[in-house]
Amino acid sequence: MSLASTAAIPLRIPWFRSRGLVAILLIYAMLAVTVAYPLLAVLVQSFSEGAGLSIAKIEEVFTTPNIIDAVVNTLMISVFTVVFAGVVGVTLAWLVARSNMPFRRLFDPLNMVPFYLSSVVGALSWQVVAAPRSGLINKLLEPFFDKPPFDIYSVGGIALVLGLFYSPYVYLFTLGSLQSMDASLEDSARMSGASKFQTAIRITLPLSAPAILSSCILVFVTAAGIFGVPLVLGVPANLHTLSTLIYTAINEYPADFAKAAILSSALFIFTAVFTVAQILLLRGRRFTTVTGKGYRPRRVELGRWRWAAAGVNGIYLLFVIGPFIALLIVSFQDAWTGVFDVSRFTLANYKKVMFVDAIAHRGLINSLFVSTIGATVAVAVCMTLALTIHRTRLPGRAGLAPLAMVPVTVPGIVLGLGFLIALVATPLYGTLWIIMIAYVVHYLPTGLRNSESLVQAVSRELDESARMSGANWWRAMTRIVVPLVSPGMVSLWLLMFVTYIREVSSSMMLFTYGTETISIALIQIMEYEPYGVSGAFGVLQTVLVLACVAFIRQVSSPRQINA
Amino acid sequence: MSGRPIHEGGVSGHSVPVTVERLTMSYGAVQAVGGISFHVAPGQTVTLLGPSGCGKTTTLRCIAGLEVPTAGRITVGERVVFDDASNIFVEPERRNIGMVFQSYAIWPHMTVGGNVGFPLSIAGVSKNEVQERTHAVLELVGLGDLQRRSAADLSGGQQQRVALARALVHEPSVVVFDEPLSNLDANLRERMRAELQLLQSRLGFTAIFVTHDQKEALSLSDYIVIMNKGLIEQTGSPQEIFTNPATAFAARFLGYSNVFPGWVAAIGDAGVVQIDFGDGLRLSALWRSPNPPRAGEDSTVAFRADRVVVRPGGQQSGENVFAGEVETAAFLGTTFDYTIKSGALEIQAEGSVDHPVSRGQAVTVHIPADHCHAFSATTAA
Repeated sequence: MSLASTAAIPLRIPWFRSRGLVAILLIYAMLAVTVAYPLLAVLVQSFSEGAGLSIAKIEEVFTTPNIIDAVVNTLMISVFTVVFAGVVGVTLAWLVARSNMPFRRLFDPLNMVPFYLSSVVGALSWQVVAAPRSGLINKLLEPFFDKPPFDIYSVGGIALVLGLFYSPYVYLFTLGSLQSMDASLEDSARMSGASKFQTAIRITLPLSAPAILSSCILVFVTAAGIFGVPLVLGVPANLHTLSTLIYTAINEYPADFAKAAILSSALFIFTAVFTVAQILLLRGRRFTTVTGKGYRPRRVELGRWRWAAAGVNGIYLLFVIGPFIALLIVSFQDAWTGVFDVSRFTLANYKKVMFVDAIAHRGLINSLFVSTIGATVAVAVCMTLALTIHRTRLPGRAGLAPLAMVPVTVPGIVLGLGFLIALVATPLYGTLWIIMIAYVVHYLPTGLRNSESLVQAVSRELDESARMSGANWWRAMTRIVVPLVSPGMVSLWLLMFVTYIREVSSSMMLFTYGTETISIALIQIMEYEPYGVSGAFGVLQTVLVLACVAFIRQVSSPRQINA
Repeated sequence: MSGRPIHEGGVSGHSVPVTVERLTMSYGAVQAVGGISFHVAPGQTVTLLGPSGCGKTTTLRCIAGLEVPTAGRITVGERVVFDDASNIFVEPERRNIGMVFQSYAIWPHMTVGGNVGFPLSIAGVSKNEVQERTHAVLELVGLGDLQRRSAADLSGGQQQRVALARALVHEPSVVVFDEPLSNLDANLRERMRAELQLLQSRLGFTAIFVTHDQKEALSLSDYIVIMNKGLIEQTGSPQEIFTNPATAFAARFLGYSNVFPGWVAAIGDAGVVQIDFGDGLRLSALWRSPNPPRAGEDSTVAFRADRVVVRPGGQQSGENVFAGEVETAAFLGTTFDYTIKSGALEIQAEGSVDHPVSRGQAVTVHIPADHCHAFSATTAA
């Protein structure tokens, strides 16, 4: 439509529409600088060793033996993780949604807990339990074996921790699909002569397949790009993944930016391909099993097996929560002897991390600052994007969501490297602001998806009627739409806050002395302090996160906001 | 029907005409509205009537300013609010049009008074005056005591009234209604229809309704615009279009339950034609299409079930009298509904409950020729 203002009658309102155009251009410029530029910087850097563009360095990097080992490790960790998370997530989702397993109402929120916790703290707690010499289980089993039976510093150990922490992704997707499924689809299978278990395998499971498959791909790529857990559990055993190699390339002397960029590009291409596949998979089939029917599918009676089912779910929770309890106990002991000793009870560890240790103290303050400001910025940015996309007719609005979704394909470590390369020569480098921007950009897709569903849940007629009542666009948004979505915005703010508090990968690339975040501080403390001190710090972070999560559940229904 | 002030500080009417010229609305390759024109006189009630997807709501939203048309011109009163030729587009909030939405669009985070007073507070009216006028208009729609109630817990009928009050409170010269009664149950719908009519005649605003309910359209309107596939099929007063549908589509949509394809067998005087259906069945009917009938051309005949006279026994003869057999008979309380098989035709008929005929019985049906409407099949939908 050509609506340029050439009218003889001055009724056109050019100021509004031209202001809108300026606004959308600014949004595009902002996304170009924060999303596209860092990524391009990484890709360009890969070809920029020496003068001009060359692929010599790329050949060199991919023929180095330890890099080939790292690729193999990365793939093995990803495969093991996705198998573990897939089996656990689907099983638990089916048990909670479709069986008469006892305690399922209690288990449902507990199964989601790892989703919110920091996997680095998880890795730390598993060290307490299964480190080769000092681990609790190894200590208990010592008398029966020649050497410690469990070694958490291994590919298996890393995959175990990742599997435990990423099962909730598969669980959440599958549960959603199972709960929204049309009950008559299964009923008609039963009427056609299928048994309950035949129905589960031949009808229920295939109908949930898109949800299961897409969440598994998500876990697969996330595991491939994950940094914190391999750093804590791999590097001490000289076991590297692509992400830890990227980190070492930057931190060795002299820093090898080209190598880091090449590895990052490889990792990015890998994750991007799978993520795009996942998005495409979900797009076509997302709503196929969803109906507006008010009645829920019937539960399968498990008979005696229902106690076994509860046992399975209980074991999962034990694997997640048990080590945290061990960590909690350790954090109250002045020295760890392998058993809890009342006489050794102390609060000194907490005192130390809160008030004495400078890095811990700084990490806490820095993270609270960055996460508070960052979450506020993120909610503002995401709501602006969502309103622009869904509540204006501005040209180019359709391109905003795909562009803002790009970071979903980028592992945090790669994004961190991008910001490092892009901004190392600017005054932003070495400040908390660069970390904050990286957080906001990294989790833009999560924020935007949630904001979009909040905005879309408000019927258009509600703001159209404000327009018909004489309100201009801005007033219709601020007086009608924003107040209606404000509870959801609070939840989104808290989700972003929690996510930022436990962020590791991009912080690790961007921190300098003085701008350590809570996770960085934890990783550093783990290097030179005993379990008790790092445990106390880990417990502190966990309590902070859980308090926010409890609050989120208070203000919104739990599945209204999802990641 | 000129308006007069009805309340101190309340609503007063000042109606203006609305003119739509060559209005076109395309979404990519899909044309929702195909260049339609109509005029609404000041204070008149006009209904856009048609099935879903006919472009009626789009047309209404273009008038309101919620959609930017592809082409055409819309004038409200003296003011051109849209004209593609001179690049005029007036934002919806500047058009001074009230609107009642299909979902009512009551803001759940405000009180009833907050909803109704919103247009005034946006316009910068003083707090006291907002209070007063809100109260006046709520009295008008019969909700005077609900001003402080939260808008989240209103019944359907109350929501409808609040939406109406909000559309009227800032004294718009035109009020548009998007299927305002479709979400109410049958009893309430009848009552609201009557109340709307009363209000409109008291306040005298120009009203444009959109509905797919022919009953609603017939009872509410001064003037009806029947739309189909983005084009206007027929315009006219309710009586005109009901007694003289201009197309087979209009006939079908107005509740003519007998619509049969045939061809023109003979052309008589005074617009009477003979339509042949095969099987030796012939019907005299009035030619309604604007183009003159041609012998042998395909034609569609429409007549209403209540115009069919059913008599027991299969032996009478005469013009438009056929022998048939009762296939189905349904008792509807005040009437009987019959399906009568006569040759290839399955005729829908209405019969008196005092002289019923039964299933399988041989009957004769008589359809008076002046109630049979024949249309050229090329213009039929």
